[in-house]
Amino acid sequence: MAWTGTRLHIDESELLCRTGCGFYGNPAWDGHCSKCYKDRTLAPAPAAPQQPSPTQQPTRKAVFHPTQTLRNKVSRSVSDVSELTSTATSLMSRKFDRFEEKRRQQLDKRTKAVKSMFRKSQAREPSRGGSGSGDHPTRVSQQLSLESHSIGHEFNQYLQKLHKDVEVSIIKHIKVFLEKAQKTFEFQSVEESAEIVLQFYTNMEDIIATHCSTHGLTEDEAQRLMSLTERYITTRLYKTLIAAVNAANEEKDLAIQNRIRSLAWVGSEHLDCGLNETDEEVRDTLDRVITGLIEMNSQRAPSDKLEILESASLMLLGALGASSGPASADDFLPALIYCVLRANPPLLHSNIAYITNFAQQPSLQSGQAGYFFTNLVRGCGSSEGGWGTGLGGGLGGAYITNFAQQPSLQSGQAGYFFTNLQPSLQSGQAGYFFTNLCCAVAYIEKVSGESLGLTEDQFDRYMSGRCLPPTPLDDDSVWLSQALRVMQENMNVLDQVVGGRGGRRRRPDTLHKDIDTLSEQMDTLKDTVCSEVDVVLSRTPLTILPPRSADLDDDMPPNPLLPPPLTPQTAGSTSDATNTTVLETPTDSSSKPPVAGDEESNVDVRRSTQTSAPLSPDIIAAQEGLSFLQQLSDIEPGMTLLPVAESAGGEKEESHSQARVDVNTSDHIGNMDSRILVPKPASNISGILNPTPAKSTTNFPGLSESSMPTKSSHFPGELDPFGPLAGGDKTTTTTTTSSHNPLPPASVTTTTTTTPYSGFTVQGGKIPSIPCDAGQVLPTTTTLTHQQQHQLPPPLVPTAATSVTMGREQHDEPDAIDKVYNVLGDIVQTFDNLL
Amino acid sequence: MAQRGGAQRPSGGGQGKICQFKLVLLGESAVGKSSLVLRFVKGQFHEYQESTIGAAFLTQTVCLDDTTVKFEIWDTAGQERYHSLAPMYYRGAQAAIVVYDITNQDTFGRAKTWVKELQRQASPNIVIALAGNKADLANKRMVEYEEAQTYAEENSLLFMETSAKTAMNVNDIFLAIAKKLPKSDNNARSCWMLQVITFKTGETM
Repeated sequence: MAWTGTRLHIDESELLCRTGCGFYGNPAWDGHCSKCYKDRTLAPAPAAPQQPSPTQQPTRKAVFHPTQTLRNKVSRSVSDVSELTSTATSLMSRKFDRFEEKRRQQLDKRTKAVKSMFRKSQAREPSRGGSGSGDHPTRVSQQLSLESHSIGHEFNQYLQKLHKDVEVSIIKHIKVFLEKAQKTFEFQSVEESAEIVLQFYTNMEDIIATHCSTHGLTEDEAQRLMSLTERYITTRLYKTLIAAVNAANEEKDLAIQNRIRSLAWVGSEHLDCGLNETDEEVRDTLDRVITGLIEMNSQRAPSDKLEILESASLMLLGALGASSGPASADDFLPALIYCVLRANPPLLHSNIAYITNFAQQPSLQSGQAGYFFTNLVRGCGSSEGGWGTGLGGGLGGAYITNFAQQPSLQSGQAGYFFTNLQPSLQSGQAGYFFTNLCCAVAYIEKVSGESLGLTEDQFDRYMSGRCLPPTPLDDDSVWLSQALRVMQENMNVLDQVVGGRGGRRRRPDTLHKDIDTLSEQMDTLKDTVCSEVDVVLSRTPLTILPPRSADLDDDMPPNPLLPPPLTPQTAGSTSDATNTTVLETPTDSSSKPPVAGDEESNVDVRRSTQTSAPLSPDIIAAQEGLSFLQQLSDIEPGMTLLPVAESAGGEKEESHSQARVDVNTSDHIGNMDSRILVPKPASNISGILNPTPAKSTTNFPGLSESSMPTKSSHFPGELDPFGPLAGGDKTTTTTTTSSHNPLPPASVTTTTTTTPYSGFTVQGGKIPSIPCDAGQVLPTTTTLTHQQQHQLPPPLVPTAATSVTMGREQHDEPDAIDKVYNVLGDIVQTFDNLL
Repeated sequence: MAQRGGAQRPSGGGQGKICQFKLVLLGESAVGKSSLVLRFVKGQFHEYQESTIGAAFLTQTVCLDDTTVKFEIWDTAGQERYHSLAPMYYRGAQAAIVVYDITNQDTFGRAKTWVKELQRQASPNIVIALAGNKADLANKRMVEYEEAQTYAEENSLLFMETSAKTAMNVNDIFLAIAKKLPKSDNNARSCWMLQVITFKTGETM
């Protein structure tokens, strides 16, 4: 069993196949070469087919078998054969354990086997010539990672600043070491690697120390060199080292992760730490600390890991200090435990082990004889006293690691503490925080109900997830869960608003009062608006015109299409003037006819509304609309004289206008009534109105009769006063009704468009003239007209069609129509809203 | 090697040695461990105050004749539930101050257990000081000076009654510790090396 002792020197003769066939043997094959071993194992089972190819799959299969037998041998040597059978029977129940065991054993086996092979290959190397040795460096350089590059670059730069000899010697040493390490570490246990690394550190220290004396390096430089060396080495070897560490600590990592997960219910109140988690800032800091703890895993060099730990710890201390004076360890350790619980950092044990094993020994003086160490040493019969007095030095670490290889020292709690707390990390701030982290981990691992201030029963139930601690939703609960926090804040706000707690009744009272006053205001507003409307209505009583007109309508079905407004013929030029004024400043025009009482009423309305209640935009709009309407009606008197208004468009068409007049008059007679009349009035009212009538005529059929009368009702009344002024033309009244069209302008246009098209085709030639006219006549309004003409042309067409004789009347300003329609629409809407 | 991490003292220490010591504070929670060390580090005695964040880890430099002693002060969590973690802290410490509250008999009992534990489990050469804190509250005294004094003598401890509030004896106790600490560190390392070497050879053989 020469193979079990890895450290023994192996003679080449032992490497050869036991059967003496001249090939090398392999421990996995009981020291036989592959062929002999196969022969041997296959012999008892002659049925098995001969394996002609010893290289492929079969051999790989065979590897398992031999390991099995070997393990059996080992176990036999260790214990009884009976154990084998017992394990076999309990195989099912302990499947996982077995699996783990097997895995570990295979790992060991592989390590050993490969190691021995490696040694063998080294022994053979000379015979192979330089080719083999040349392979390694190139492979290494190819593997350089980004991190390695950056640290290597940094290191080089720093070295270049130093003396040439220093640079050369350090680079040489590191290179040699790296080469060696890269070859061997893969097959070594963590402890072995750690030993080598620590030894290298010590060597480097000595080398640097000599440089200090010969080349005048300062202590700072030396220290920097050492830390750079450490970072460089560990970064370069990180993959290898961490893989070994991970493999060794995998179970512990998983265990602690599960442990932490099952301890998720632990709150800061259980741990007795003075964290004021309701404070936003403290919470932020905690989050950052937690991030730091998790980030630790992503760093490569131990010193970088420590640095992160240090800064996180300082942040935590700051947070603690923020909540209650300068923080002491009484608060710090619990807080750190809490953070570790919250963070559940990945590979916690691996990282700790990695740091303890590969961190450059700070070489600060620190006593080596700690409690656990004493315990460990006691078992070996060494004299603790000597160690106890010992101070400082990386060698201590090396020594301890050596020592740790004694299997008896690696088990149990003591072993845990031993491996996790290297004395070299016992000083310095980083050491302090690292110790705290280790303490936190240790505490978490053996935390019990008692240490959390719970009964064991409670603790068990919490751990098994059957219960949750009752505190979480309390007022000052300390859950880091964002959602819960927000929820609680909202609850608090609600409490304040509703005044549930603390008997704060004032707030709700005022709230209710405010609500009441607001509703009162709303009521008054409504009332005032209603009353105003009533006033207006009473002032302008309804005329019965609409019904009359209905009858007339029946009589004259074609009339609607006719744009009787032709009336304006009388004086085109004058009408133009009025039109413009109207468009520009409606108020002016309205003021002109003083007779109209409407205006005053308008003003009254405004005043009343203003005083009585705050004016809503709706009301204002309505008022404006009203005033505009009134203006229109006001104008009428003047207009009647100049019905020609529409002619505004062009002088050229004066002849037409005259013709129109005729038509109008005729219309008047016939129309006089109902909606049909509407068109006429429109025509009467200045040019602006002309278009409206045209539209209205077309619309009429479409308009709902019911709506018409109601709305128009006001206006007829209004208009009555004008009636006389206007010359008693009933047309005027009709105009107003038309203007009242409840239909939104849009709908009007659409209806018109459909009907008119035929007309369009017929009188298409005239349509283009419209824009021109508008432009000429009303420079101020031109822009409007242009914009709106596009929409409006259709209405014009129908009128043309209806008027037939007139043909041209329609060119009137579409903008005006639009405006009117818009205003009317607004008014209707606002009134609807209000009422 | 001992000087490596030592305080960078621009003056005062002169060519004297710089020794660095790890000092642990033990004691029941709320006996004033932190305030004691805060008083020491931030009081009139201090020259270099290197860490002001929290009182968990602080350093303070003291001048003694020809040597400069730098204290690295590790505060520990005093709560009973964390007691079992204490060894991690005091391992490797060259000095320890066990603090109790003179107005609380229990804390004195606790201090005794700490001392016992230290004597049994810490490094044998550890310098232990017993500090009866809150001496300013003498009217509420529950632990007699003589009682503590006798106990300290029996166990060869340094003993002082201190008050972090009035700064009474605070600096003195640290100074006394500094005086009592061994200053000949450099021998220690060579001794170490020797042992390591012997052990290694033993192992390989």
